Amino acid sequence: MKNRLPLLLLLSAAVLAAFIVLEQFERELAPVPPAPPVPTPKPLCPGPNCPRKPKPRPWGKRFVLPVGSLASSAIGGEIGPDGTELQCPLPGEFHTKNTGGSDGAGLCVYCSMKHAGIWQDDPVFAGLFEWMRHHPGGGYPAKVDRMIEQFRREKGLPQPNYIQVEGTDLEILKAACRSGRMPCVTYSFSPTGRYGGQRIAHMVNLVHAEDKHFVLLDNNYPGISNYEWLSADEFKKTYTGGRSGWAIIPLRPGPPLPPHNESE
Amino acid sequence: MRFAFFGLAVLLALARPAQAQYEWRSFADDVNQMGLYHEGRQIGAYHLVEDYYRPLDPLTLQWGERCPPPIAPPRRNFGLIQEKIRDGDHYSLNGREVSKEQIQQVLGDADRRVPDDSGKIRLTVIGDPNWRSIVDEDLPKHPALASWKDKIVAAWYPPNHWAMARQGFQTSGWPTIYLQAPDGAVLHRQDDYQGGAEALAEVLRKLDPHYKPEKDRDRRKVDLARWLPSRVPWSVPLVLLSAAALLFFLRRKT
Repeated sequence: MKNRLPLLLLLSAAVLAAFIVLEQFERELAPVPPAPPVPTPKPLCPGPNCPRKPKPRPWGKRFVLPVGSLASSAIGGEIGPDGTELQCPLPGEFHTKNTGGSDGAGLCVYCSMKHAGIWQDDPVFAGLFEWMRHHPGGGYPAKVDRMIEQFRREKGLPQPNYIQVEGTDLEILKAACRSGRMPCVTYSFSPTGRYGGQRIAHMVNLVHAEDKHFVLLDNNYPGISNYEWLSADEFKKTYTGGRSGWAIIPLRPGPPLPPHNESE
Repeated sequence: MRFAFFGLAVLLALARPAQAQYEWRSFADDVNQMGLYHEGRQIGAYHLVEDYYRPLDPLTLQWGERCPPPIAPPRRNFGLIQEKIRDGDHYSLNGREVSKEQIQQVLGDADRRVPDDSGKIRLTVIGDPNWRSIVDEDLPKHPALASWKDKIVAAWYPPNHWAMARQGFQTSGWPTIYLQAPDGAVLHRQDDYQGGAEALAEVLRKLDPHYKPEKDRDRRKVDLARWLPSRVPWSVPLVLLSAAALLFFLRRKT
């Protein structure tokens, strides 16, 4: 009998295991009652809906809006009053001041394109501004097409992929910023009171666009503490000027986010 | 009456040239200011950004205090020719006028006219220009990588590019290849291209963002940790008791 004891123990364990497995199969086959409502689990990252982690800022100081200032219509830095970080924080050393072409007319269009070109590493957009200093200034959609073609042929550069939009569509601008691209947009007055609050003819860069904030980099006010934070309504008014806006969007992707370890 | 009108017309004709003698002129080196000229001489300047006018004494060349300009301020234009911006929605792609639908078709996305890269893995190749071929040639053309070209955002950068060096990317590889999650987390880094496109494709397969490891089943083994101790079914104590009873019964019999 003593010899049979281990055998019996083994047999018991086997029966136990068989029961467990059978029970699990029964559970899997049985209709599952509806589960009580539970909080939706966070999506596993990487995934399409992963939130962006706060980005380290190796370039320049963070600038926080003054306490008490409004979320919209304020001059500020790379971080908004509610902690929002810019989607396209072009380093301050690349902020370029607008100047004039050979005829004295302004080059705001090409200065904005330079900002976008540096951000998105597009050599045609990045180089056009300097080249335009020796050509008559001023810009409009058809002229931009002509100048891009002329410049890239002269310099032997590849055709850049870009789109131009005229109208009042803000969704395309939001989509561009969300994907890390920096649109160049028309700007007809300053909601924060720059330019004496007067009507102007200008093009600037949209460095952040989502439902709550639209943030502009004005090439007449370069610098990482000179961003203009606006609400969607304010932006739409200045973008369209009550009529129609114009945007230029290079399609190359923006730079990758600063690397960090997965566990951080 | 006729003479009165004639006299008024003569006066207006005389007054007009006097007004025309004032002229706003732009400066090529500073688009933020415009000079006011009178009879060919500068008599003041308007700051378009700060919105003020200051007179200039043409004899002493001394600037006066801020004051209203003698004529209407100049138009504040920094280089935009607004008259040529059309009303209504218009779209163009690389200089070609296209319809909204064509833009959507070209970009392969029915809802967005800008490619939405926000949820894609980023492949970044950092190295000398020869390594650009990984992005330009291997990714779109190599059979192992071809299926990935629309699923990832790929870019090549030279090691001294501002976006690489100052953001903390390792740039000393031959080349350095990063695969990052949409939030910037480094999923993989290699400092060479050994194994070529096939090895890179294998890494990408393992990092597929739609892959859910928790749904995997290892059919080779029973994972007891899955069952015990939190999921001990009712049958376990029953079986244990039965086994104990059986043992007890057999011992008594012997």
